[in-house]
Amino acid sequence: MADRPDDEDTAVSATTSSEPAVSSSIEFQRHDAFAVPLWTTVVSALGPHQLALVADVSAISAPAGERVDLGTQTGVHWNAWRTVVLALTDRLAQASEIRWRMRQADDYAITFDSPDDVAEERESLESHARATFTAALWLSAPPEAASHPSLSLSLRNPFNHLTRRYEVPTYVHHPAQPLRMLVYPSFLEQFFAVSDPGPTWSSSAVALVSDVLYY
Amino acid sequence: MVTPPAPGDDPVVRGAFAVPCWTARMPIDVAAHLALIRDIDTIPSNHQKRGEPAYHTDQLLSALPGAHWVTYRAAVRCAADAVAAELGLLGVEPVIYTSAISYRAVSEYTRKVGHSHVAATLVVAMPLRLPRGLDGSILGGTVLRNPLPSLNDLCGSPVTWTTPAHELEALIFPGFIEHRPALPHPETDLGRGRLLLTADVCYF
Repeated sequence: MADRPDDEDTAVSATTSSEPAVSSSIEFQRHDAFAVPLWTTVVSALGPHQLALVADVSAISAPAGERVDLGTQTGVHWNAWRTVVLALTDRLAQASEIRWRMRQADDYAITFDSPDDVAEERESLESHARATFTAALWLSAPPEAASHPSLSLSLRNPFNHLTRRYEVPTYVHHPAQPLRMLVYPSFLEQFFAVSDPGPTWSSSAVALVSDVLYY
Repeated sequence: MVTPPAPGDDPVVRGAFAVPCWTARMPIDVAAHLALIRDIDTIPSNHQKRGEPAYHTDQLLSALPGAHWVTYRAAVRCAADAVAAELGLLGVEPVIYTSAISYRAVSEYTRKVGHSHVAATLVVAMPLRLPRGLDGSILGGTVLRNPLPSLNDLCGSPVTWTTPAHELEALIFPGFIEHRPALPHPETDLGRGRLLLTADVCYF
């Protein structure tokens, strides 16, 4: 084994495995530092509006798997969606001591009619880095996804190249379950994933997403 | 009109992608402890470097003789291997580089001494001597810096992480994590100073 170049004057080699091991194993405690916070909740307040929201999204003509802008949608049910999202993100912004003077939200929906509509990770991985928080709600999901939870919104570890060898997971998954919401920092890369196509879906999956900027 | 989420609907906070680090009490007895300090305190000046951070030795320590050094190296290897086993890194022989770092006055602490040992898989940093009053305090500890501070600060993830320092209790962390010593109060009497042994353990 070669010495380090700056240690050539000392002509000292690094220690290798020739040292004897101590007789007893060392007990150690693990700590998790610098976790990226995520928030999950079931938005029961949107239950009464679920059908109306799905109907409006279904009425918009757009290819499956592509986002549709919701900025022009109006009605009590859309007010409900926006109120829930901003109530949550405002609380998070307040708890994080973000000093903001402006708040702006951008809403869109994505519909998947079948597992084939979900693109590969390499084609769909993206971040919403211009926003502060992203709120993603599974508005509806096929029953097959509940019994065979293969569809998810998945987040990718931002320093995967550094932490993979330390057993830090590459992904965190938010499975498709109706009215389950995930809020996450918008800088995280995300994509929709189907880990296993499973049985044919009997209905569509619809996700509502809101990017909320605090500035 | 929608009522904001009730308390029962409080979102559940989950942490994702946390960086693991570990603490471990090292099996070094009093005699070995004192002998390690004595050896380091008497290292010739040509093996001491004044730079960042503070005074630190070159790789002389990696080959110093004596039962106390054998004990120390074995403890480092055992602790690192225990962590490596959890990580599934065993199967290769680690290479270990050892050096000592000494802070003799508060003026030697600056925020500029942040650095990483990025070539190392694991860093095993063990305080050998802590100033009175800093043993058991985070002010005697090592401050790890969030690798994505500007992004994570917005969402409430801490910019730094520190654990209280104890003599002979090693802090083990991935080598890529930037770190520096905690800054003691300017009027702290360091006495004989803060002395650490650090081992860069490379599983490659």
